[in-house]
Amino acid sequence: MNVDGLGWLIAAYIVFFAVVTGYIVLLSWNQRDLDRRIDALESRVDRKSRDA
Amino acid sequence: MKDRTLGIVTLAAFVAALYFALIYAPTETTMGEVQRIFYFHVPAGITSYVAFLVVGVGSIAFLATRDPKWDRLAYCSAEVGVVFAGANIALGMLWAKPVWGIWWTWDARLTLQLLLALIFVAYLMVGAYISDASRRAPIQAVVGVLGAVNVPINYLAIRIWRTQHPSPVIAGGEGSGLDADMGIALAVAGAAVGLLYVYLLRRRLAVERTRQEVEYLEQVVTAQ
Repeated sequence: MNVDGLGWLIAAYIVFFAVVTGYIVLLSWNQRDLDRRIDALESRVDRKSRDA
Repeated sequence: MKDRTLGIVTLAAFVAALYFALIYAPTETTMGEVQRIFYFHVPAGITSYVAFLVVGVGSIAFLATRDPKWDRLAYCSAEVGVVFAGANIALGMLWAKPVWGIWWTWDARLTLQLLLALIFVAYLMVGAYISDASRRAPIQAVVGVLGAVNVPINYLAIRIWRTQHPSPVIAGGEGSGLDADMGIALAVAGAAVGLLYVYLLRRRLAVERTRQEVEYLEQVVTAQ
């Protein structure tokens, strides 16, 4: 039996790198979103402190 | 090492791993090119074991000390571990279809690996459903320890039982072994995937720390 299966190999590598890249992209989006929320919250805290 | 530097080193390691897996390693006689899936399938599986063992260690340390840093480490490692376990299972299925003629079979190794991944999906669900950290963390830590116990059983599955999954080629005893060049390719790919785990874990820990900071600031704003 000689399977070869170059197409399966390419498919497997695409799946592996898609999973990893997808996770890195999600982490980056999440981090950026949280950083924006921190900036917004910090300016609210500063404003409230000044007003007080 | 900074995250950016680690990311570049990991990327370079992956370029090397692709060279060793696709060009340097000889073509396997029986299976042909499809066997090259092995160079990322095996490291992804081993890395998922490492990630889940880190969850176990972090969970035990949290239960002993109640220090939230251990809970954070365990939680982040579980998420990264699920990514690697998922990749490992997907690569295994894409290898099994052309070689075995089936996508999946309920043999000991495959079933235990799926079970391991599902236990840690459940672990993450516990985290998502219980918002109060003081209640969530101890429950999650217990699930984390129980999940980590499955790792050595899973590792030994292909040594204890006769399974459809191939026998171990490393430390598999008499008659097992790997061509030297294939071994080098596997080691390089293993190092690249290991570096990727460290990189992803650090990025995930940074996200978790920022999320906790947001929670704290929200409390401050509400209290003012």
